[in-house]
Amino acid sequence: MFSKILLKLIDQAIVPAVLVVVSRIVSLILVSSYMGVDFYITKNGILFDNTKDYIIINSYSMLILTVLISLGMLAIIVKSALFHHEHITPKMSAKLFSLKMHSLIKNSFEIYTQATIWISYLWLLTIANGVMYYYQMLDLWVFYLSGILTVSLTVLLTSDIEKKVKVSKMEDFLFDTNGKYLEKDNKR
Amino acid sequence: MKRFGANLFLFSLLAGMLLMPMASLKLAKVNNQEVLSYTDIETKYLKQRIEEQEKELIELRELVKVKETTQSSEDITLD
Repeated sequence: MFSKILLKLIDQAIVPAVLVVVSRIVSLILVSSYMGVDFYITKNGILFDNTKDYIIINSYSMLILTVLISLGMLAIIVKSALFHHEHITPKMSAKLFSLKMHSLIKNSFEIYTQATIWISYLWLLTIANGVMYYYQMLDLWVFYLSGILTVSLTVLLTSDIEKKVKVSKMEDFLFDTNGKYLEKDNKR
Repeated sequence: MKRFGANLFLFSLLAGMLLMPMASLKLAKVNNQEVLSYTDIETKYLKQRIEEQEKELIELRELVKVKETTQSSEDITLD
């Protein structure tokens, strides 16, 4: 009854959702302690005494968040390029099995549902950065940097998907769908 | 129809999963309480002093008035 893709997408959204919340809180606390800025943890959130400190700490916190999500996205793209079950090299496959890391070998369904979620988070973060900059809560360079990261990772993912589509087209051709060669073998 | 409803529920759940963590971005805020600088405190103190001195002046004026009236009444009786 339930859509398999939607269920998988929800399943894949748990890890980045937790990562966003945890890294936001931890980065705010770490950056303010590193910079020696006073903050108060209240029911309403983390409060800062003046706007100047708030903008600096918010900028660095959003930067850390964006970089973390980008790294996650990059890992998925690398996984797709190197460990995809359709084109993983036998040598790499054997290596992964010997290291007991064969769980890294994934199919398109696993990889692309994961990639969809992570790239969505990245775009949402970039939009949030834009909104924060508009309301003067963030430095402009953070918005630019997150925009550049998001666009380049989207391009990488798209090119990877394009490659996969080409590969699968070639495989259709190689599979001898009309059974021409198979019939020849039978005649012999 | 049942399948559509179930998928709509899943879709809204997914949208919630994507948007809920974004609420954590609003965790950091600037303290809204009035933060007084040294000059603010100084002006506040000076205003208070001016108000007190104005009150004292009014009281003194009243005293002078009372004294004047008693003096004039004394002069009349002496006459």
